[in-house]
Amino acid sequence: MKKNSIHTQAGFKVPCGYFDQLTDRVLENTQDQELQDHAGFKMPEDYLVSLEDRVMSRLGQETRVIPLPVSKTKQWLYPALAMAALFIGFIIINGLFTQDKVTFADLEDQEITDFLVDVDFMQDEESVALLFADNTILKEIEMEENITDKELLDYLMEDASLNQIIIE
Amino acid sequence: MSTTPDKELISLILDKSTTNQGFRALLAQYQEQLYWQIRKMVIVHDDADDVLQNVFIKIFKGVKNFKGDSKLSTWMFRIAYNESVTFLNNKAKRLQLSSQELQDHLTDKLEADVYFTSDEIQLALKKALAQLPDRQREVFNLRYYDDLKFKIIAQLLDLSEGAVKSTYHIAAKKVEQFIKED
Repeated sequence: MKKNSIHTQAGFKVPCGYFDQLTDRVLENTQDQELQDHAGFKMPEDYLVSLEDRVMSRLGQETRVIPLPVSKTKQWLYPALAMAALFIGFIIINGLFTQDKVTFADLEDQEITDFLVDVDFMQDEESVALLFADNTILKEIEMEENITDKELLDYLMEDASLNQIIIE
Repeated sequence: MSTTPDKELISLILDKSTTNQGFRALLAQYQEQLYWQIRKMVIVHDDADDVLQNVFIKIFKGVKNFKGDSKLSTWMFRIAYNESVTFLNNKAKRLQLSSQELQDHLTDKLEADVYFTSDEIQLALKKALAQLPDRQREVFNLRYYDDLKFKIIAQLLDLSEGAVKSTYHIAAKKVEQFIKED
């Protein structure tokens, strides 16, 4: 106060209420500078105070290994299930890789011949239709003279023994 | 606030008996700096909060592999940058927007954001920045707001110093032009 009076005595004056508003104005300017530095963005009040704890709690959650709760009554269940899974797996794999897959190539020629002799194709119209629908037999036969499919079909139906042709 | 040297921070974190203490110190020391860096990129406070937490988790998990080739702050800055870019890409994909459209969308929402100043100049600047390609905007932010040296920006973005300088000058010209026309 004494200093103020000295300044006043020296002839200087300040606007009325200057010192009352000074603090607010200085703080306002400081905040503006802060906004300028942060590109106009603001941070919620006390945001950083809680951040540390939130990050640390997340870290705790991510690094802690939580054992699965297993009730005593179910303790026998998991080994039993594991054994069952192994057993089923063994059967499937064994079945897949060791089971003989019968193909046409595996049949002996004599077995095919015997089968065809026993079965009379000509008695079964469906079998005949199926045989000709496939058409590979006809294509494989080399003809010396040109004959139509119809002529051939008529001949086979009337005069030839299909069984005999196939056997030959 | 007193600061702990980076080497000391790393030693504290790597020592199992002081890991938490060291990480808390690292958090306290760098959280604000990283927050503002991320916020300038992702714009929305809640997004910045999510990204910042992820960044610290990654820092914590990766600090044992930090070889000290660069400053700790530069290394963390880079993690924050990568995490922010990934976040923005995912957000654009989720909203089915292009990168440019996402920037426009975020800037449009700024006017109603309680955590953004009502200063018209800042808003005009943000709108101008939204028009820049991603790389130019990033370089401009790092230079203009964070006041980082071109050399550091080049290290952060894996660019040559010359490329950073020219990118910044092109960005600054565009911003100036945009504001004059607006």
